[in-house]
Amino acid sequence: MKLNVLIVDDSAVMRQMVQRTLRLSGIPLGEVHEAGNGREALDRLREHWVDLALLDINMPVMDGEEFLGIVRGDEETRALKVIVVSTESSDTRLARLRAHDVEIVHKPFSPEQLRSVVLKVTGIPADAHESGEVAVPGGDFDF
Amino acid sequence: MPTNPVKSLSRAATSTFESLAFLVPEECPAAGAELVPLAAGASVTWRGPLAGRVVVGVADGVLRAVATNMLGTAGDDPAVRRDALGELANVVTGNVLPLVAGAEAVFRLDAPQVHDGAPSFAPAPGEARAAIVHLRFDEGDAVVAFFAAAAREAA
Repeated sequence: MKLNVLIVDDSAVMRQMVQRTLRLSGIPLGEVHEAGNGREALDRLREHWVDLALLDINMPVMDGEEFLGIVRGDEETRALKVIVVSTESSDTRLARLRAHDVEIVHKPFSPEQLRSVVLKVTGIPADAHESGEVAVPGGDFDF
Repeated sequence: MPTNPVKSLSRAATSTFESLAFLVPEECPAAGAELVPLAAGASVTWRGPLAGRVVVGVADGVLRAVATNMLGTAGDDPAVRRDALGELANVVTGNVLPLVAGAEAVFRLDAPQVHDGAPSFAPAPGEARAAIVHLRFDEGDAVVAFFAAAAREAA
C-alpha cells in the first residue's frame, strides 16, 4: 500500500521540496495533496483519505496549531498521523504541539531526518520501499 | 541578548543555506556588506519577548541557486525564486531566535515579505541592528541582518 499524504505549508516551494524529499527517500507515495494553510488542509481532509499530514506551523489564515486542535477534536480525523515540519524551536510551543501526539521535524531538515520520522510515525519497515510492498498499520482498507 | 548575536546569526544563516539550499558559504568580514551587489531581499518580522526582523539579501546567482537547489529543477520562474527566498528567510529567522532569546521564548513570525532589488540594512526608527553577516558563495554573495526593536509585545 502507498501512503496518501497531505503537505500543509504556505510556501509552494517548501511543499514541493517536502514531496521531492519523500520521493527521493523511497517513501511509497500514493496521492499527494497540498494545502497553503490550516483551513485549506481541513478541506482536503474532507475531500480525500489521508494517511499522513506534514504540517507547517506558522501560516496565514489558520496556523498549524489551530489546525491540530480541530483535527484532534474531531472523531473523524483525530487518529490522523501528523508530522510537524517547522522552524519552531521554542520548547514551550514544542511541548504544546507534542501534546497533540505529533512528531516534529525541524527546518532545515535532511532527507534522512524526514525519512526516519516518516518511517517511525507510519510504522513502515525501513526496507519496505525496496520490495514495493508496504503495509500501513491500521491501514487495511480497500480504496 | 543572552548570547552573541553575530555568532548566533552566522550559525543560523550558514546552517540554513547549507541544509535548505545546499549552498556552502564562506563568511566574510561584515564591514562593507552594504556595498555588496544584491538582486533581491526578504524580511521576516516577529513578535514575542523581543520584537524585530531578519533581512536576507542575495545576489542574482544566489537567488537562482536557492530556488534551483530547493526544487531540484531550474528555478527560472521569478515567483518561485521569490517564494524560495522568503522561505529561506523564514527558516533563518526561526533558527536564530532561540539562539538569541533562549529556547523557552515563544515568537510569532509574520509571513516573509520579498522584494526585488537590494534591501536596506539600515535600522528603521525604534530598532537597532544587532548583527549583520556577509556570506560568499561561488554563485555570489548574501547579507543577513538581525534587527531588534525596543517594543515588547506578547506572542
